[in-house]
Amino acid sequence: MSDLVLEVKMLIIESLDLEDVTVDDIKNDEPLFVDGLGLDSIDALELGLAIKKRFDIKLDANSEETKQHFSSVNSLVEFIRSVKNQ
Amino acid sequence: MKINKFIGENPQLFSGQSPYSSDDFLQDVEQYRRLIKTTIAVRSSIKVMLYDANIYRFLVRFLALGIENVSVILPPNEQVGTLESIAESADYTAGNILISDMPSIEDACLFTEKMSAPIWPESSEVVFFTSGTSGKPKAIIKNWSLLNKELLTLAKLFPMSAESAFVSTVSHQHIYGLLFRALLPLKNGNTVYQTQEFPEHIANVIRHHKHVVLVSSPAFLSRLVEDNVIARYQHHLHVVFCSGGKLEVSHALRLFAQFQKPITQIYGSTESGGIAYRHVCKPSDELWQLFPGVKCEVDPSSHRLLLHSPFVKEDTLQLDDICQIEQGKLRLLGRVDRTIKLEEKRVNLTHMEEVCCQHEWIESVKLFELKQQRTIIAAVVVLTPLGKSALAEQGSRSVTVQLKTYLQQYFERVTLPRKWRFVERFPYNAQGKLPMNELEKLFV
Repeated sequence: MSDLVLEVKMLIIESLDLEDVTVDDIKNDEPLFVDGLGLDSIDALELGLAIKKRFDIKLDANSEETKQHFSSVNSLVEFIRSVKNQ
Repeated sequence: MKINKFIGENPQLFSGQSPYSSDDFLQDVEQYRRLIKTTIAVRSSIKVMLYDANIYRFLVRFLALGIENVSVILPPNEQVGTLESIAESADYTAGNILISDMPSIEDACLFTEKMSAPIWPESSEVVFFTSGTSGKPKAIIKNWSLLNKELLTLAKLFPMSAESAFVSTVSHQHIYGLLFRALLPLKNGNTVYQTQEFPEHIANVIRHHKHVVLVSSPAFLSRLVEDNVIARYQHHLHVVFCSGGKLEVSHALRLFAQFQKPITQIYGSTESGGIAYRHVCKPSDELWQLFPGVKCEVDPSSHRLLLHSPFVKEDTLQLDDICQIEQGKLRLLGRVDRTIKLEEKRVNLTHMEEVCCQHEWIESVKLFELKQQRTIIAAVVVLTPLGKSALAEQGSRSVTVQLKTYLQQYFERVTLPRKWRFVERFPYNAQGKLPMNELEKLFV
């Protein structure tokens, strides 16, 4: 597991105060919301806030892109990397 | 009144990749009236269940059904369990839901006969569902004449300029969203946007308009306040409405500082319609100003609010809210029952406990509100023998995931218990009472 993948998973668990969930329970390519990890729409807002703070990045103004970025751990990691490399 | 007189004219009444003008809208309403006419021969006692997350598609259908004098049932969400529990009161579906064995108006073939000129709906029923105090989802039956009275009151009380655009984070399937973000802009001829989820997306809309009305809720605003990406466009914000639940005074004050204008908080419910509003600019701004035409009393023994409102059928409606009246204004003091609101979703804890106990793993359960990082429902569970072996074999994560999946047939995801404890027995004290702090200790 790369450091960033691990960091994102830890951030999900901590910022959303998830119980009984370990980093191993979160699959890299599994959907975060609804199916898969089963996060809800409030989690989406909270996770958005946490990601912005931790990585000092901005979210897109485009809702389709944001949905795509937040669809899985892999897509989040890719998004953070792409912004950080700019 | 003729419908084209009631709806404000606007070449961009609905925003999106391809905007719709008020003329486009009225044409689509006409098309949908034809579908209704083809599908339903006798319309008097027919009820149609309507759900569509797309505001444009929703309003086309909602209005066409009203014009054709067909009763509409609005499910609060699209959970299968919710839809099925409401299904028995409906004859047809409309919008993007499907229920087995129930015909959908969407499947009709178009018929081309000339139609009568459409009149703004005045009489047919609109049925909302909420989590009732008894624990079962409760139908709240309104009709268009009540909605119209409230709509006209809102239009007068909160005047908007012609170039206003309405952007919203709340669903139009509930009365607050239906009135404030759907019918009000339609009446004014203000541009309507699809529901937005993230603050950044709302900022993007606000950027492009000089005069924006944000129709929102505490769930959204309490997160926005932590990183207010909209504040830089505060000059574009005309009004920020907030309803559906309680906005903490501390949040309201910080938002006031960020926006340089107060949030317009609305107090009301599906049963009661709108009751009052307030602007919190300093900590002492706690009282609610009644809507024009609304009168209130307090029941002397229970301190419950007795409402006399032009927006409800009953002459007097007793609410579950405890309150005081001071200088003709309301001070709200809490609820009388076990119905709580989580992120504006009303949930009755007795109901949820009953549903839990129908699961083969759960012997008994205590649910309560737990205020931690986020206010959640906590569950303390005594398992059946079957549940105990499931816990031993699969572990607690797997068991809670399955219980939540089961509950999600009946309740919205944001209301599901987020923290679970499995105990041998509840921590009753010597007096046979179950003290709250003993239950809370399990979650420290």
